[in-house]
Amino acid sequence: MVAETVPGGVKKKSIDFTVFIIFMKSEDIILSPIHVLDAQRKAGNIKTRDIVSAVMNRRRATEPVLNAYIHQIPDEVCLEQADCADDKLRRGEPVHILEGMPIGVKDIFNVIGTPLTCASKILTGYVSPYESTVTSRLKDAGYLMTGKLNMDEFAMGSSTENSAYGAVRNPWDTDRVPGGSSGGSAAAVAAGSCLAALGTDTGGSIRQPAMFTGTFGIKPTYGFCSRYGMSAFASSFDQAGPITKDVEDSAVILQQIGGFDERDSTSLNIGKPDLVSGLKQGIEGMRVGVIQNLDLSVCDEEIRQNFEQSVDLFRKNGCQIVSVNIEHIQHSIAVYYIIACSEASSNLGRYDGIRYGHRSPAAAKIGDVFRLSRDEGFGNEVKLRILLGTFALSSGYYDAYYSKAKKIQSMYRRQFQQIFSDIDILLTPVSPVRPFKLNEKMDDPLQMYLADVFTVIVNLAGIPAASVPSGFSAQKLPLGIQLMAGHLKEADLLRTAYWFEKQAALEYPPQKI
Amino acid sequence: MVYSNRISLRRLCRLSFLVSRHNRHYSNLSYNPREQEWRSVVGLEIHAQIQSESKLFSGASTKYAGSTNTQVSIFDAAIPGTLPVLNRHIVEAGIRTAAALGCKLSQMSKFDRKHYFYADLPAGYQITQQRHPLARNGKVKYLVYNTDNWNKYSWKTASIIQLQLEQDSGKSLHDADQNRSLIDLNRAGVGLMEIVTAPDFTDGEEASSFVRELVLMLRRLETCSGRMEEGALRVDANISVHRPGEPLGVRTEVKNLNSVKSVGRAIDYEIKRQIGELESGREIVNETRSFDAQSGQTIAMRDKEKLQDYRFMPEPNLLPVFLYDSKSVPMGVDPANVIITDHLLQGLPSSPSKSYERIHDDHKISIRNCVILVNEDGLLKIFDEIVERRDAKALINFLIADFLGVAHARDINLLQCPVPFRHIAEVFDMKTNRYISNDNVTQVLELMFDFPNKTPGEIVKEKELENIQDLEVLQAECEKTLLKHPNVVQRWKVGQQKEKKGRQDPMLKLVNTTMTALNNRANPLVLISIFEKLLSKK
Repeated sequence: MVAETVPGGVKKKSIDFTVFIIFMKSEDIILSPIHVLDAQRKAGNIKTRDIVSAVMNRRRATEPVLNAYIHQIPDEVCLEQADCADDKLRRGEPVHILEGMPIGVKDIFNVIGTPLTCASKILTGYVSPYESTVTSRLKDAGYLMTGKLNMDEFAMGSSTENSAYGAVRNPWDTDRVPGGSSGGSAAAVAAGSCLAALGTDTGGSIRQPAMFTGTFGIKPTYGFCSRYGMSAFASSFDQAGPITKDVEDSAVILQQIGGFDERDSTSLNIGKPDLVSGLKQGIEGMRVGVIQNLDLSVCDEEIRQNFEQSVDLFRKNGCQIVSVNIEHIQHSIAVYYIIACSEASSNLGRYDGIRYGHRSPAAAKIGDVFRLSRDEGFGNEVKLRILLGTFALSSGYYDAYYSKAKKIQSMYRRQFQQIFSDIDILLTPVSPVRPFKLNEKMDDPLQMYLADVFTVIVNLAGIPAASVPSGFSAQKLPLGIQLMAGHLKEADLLRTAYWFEKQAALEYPPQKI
Repeated sequence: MVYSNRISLRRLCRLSFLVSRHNRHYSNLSYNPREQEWRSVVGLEIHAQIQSESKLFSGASTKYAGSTNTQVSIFDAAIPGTLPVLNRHIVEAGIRTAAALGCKLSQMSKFDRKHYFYADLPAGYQITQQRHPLARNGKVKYLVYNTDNWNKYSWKTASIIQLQLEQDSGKSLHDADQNRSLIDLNRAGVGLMEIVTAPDFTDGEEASSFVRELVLMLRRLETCSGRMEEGALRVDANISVHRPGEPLGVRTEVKNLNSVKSVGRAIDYEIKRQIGELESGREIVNETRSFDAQSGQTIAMRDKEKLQDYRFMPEPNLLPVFLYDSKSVPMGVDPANVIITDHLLQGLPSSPSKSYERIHDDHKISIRNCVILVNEDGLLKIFDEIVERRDAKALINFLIADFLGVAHARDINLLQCPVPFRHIAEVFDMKTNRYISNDNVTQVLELMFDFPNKTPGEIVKEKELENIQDLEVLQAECEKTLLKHPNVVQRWKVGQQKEKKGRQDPMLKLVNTTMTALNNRANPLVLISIFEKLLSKK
């Protein structure tokens, strides 16, 4: 449906993706994580300009197909910034690992002076007047923003098909979706049209697309990153996080963007996080849990097998595998969607056509300004969720839905607190399905929601979790497993993910895009 | 300075001792006998803007009458991604107010979102405290009085159901000429206290007396300017009528009453209207009405509020507000994240009704004068400072009749009184000791303000305003008057056989003439005794 029209009007399916991989050197660059490239440039082997130039070329080549970007920062602006980093290197000044490194930003963050769309028509014409906390912390490190990345409209969806700016395609198989809602971020990182990206995760929107694209993605503890400047979908779940080529890059970025912010009352008053120094310490003596009463029969057979093999990897390396039970876990999807839709229906009330964004030209009266602008501006998935949320909050239903869901949520929180007093890491699949084809599931929202079964529980519990690549399917589609850790145990989570990443790379030979 | 509750002061008549007080007779306000069969029930919702530099959740200024849309932060305009940060000062002001209204403070209060679409409500919801307000269950004793009838006053108590913090909305301005609406968001997000009372009032007089007292209380607390004319305090009234023994009637809500007077008039009109409707066999519709101060009528608003579902939801961007006594803060709780109440609850000003009672009981002063004394900023403090060893009644008369007139004429804010209180006391003593005549008191007070560094004693000496004590001088002047006005003397002689008034008028004339000749430097009583002596010889 939305895939036919992309900016520039290029037809997509006719382009053979593989022809773009021509220059070996560039290919090495675009497949390398930031920390490797940083070591290379500091060793004098390459310049920042080479890195940025390779990424720019890659972006130019892949965008007509992938449609990962909504707004691109022009090549010359990016290259100029790369030169600045090179100048500093030449002068022998200290250069931050992220300085001059091309990183994409999901188009849900306010970046001062650039358009913000949230992939919605309703924000047409809106330009951010201020900077979000997480992007301003990346700016402090001197990062290079390549542009604003495509997503499901207002982060609602699991396939990045719900975008007013067209669907995003999965670089591993361009007939398939990259997952969502941070599908643009994941696709761009996987394809190398940026080296890392910021995403947001409300019910799996970082982890599921990371799995679908063979990248690493982490959602930190609720309150670890400030939400200031991030357009709200479901305020009690929304968290920013990185999608990167490997675990180490994520540790670097998360360490840079995390930490207390007085402008977000729910941000946690933790000191400056240290996620990098202990990354390589290994997982000796770790207690690893699996959820006993989680029904894995809903999974594709390949995913179930891959998950069980992954658990075995932990077992083989001396981890004690513990079975845990989570009561009422079968209700997590319902609980999640009630709360998320309720908050969304409230958070999206501000898009009313009065102060910014789309205002219906047909509206003559105030009621019509609201009605028509919203009707024309929002896509179907957003409207569906606003309706669900409005219903759940309406008088007479509040206690039956919202209030009850909140009670179950706090019960989940208590249970996870209990569980993580006994174990260090909990393993689950990320998604029960492999990357599916475009339009395959668009007609069945409920099936789409059910695919969030393993990810939403994490947001309900407010704990950190990551998606780590764990090999490939027979069709050469990436697979991944989900690692969860206790409240503010990001360092443990990353350390385990780092270990698993190395193991999995030995076990399952990496594939090239 | 405009005070809606300022009492029209009639300066006490000079030479008042000569004039018998006009004895006013009041008839009870005439009620239609049929109305006696009805009971009216009134409850109030009061929205008071909290005095603070910045808004409830943003750093934007709250100054009144700034140019449009200049006091709007990105949060106030509901720019995507912005978040509320609670203004601690406003919570503290709410706590002080709640305590002063006798409310029980909630150890934990929370914020909710109240949803509706309106052009001047940028986020599509108002942040308020519906389910867990800052405080509940207060009691306020207040004085019901009517400035037209000071004899009819009574003490009442109203219950406060809750006090909650919430955001004010912006303003819509409708430009009829160009058929457009303009939005001003300067007011959007200003901190409000919503004070909800129980339906404890029976009519407009009670309700407006309560509001008057509340305004005074807030001004004493310095938590709200109370300037109703600026919209700093607005009142909504819920009104219903029913027959005794029957259940409460259907209520209407009259919104946005912006003066004490309007509160009283709107409620009384609405009660009459509802009774009229019911007696004509019609029904009362549960609706929102506005009050037109010109016609004195309430008018049904186009009812967008009927069946409105506000879809209340907890505000996910704010943490609950926890209140602790400094001794009861639990271990591990960062005091920066909670509000310590003890220092806030120290030094709360006493309530206006306590002040009325104290003055009334301690000094046996009329309610009217108590009200004036308490309602005039700073006057009570002056009184309290200098009343010791002085005649309280006379002092209040002096302060209200002489002192306040001069102070008002010069627009002096008595909270920052420019002269020492002992100077005021000195003028009062000079008047009481008849060191100066009543007629010169005003002049001395004026000079006192002109020369705050001089004592009134020095001023009187310098300007030669003290009474002439030498009886011979006075007698000589009186004799001159008698010679000059033989016709008045004649009238006096005729009047001697008549009523009191006939005797008084000529005497008044003689004394006044002599006083003028002496530049008011005499005690009129002394002059009267001299005249009586002189005339009796004639």
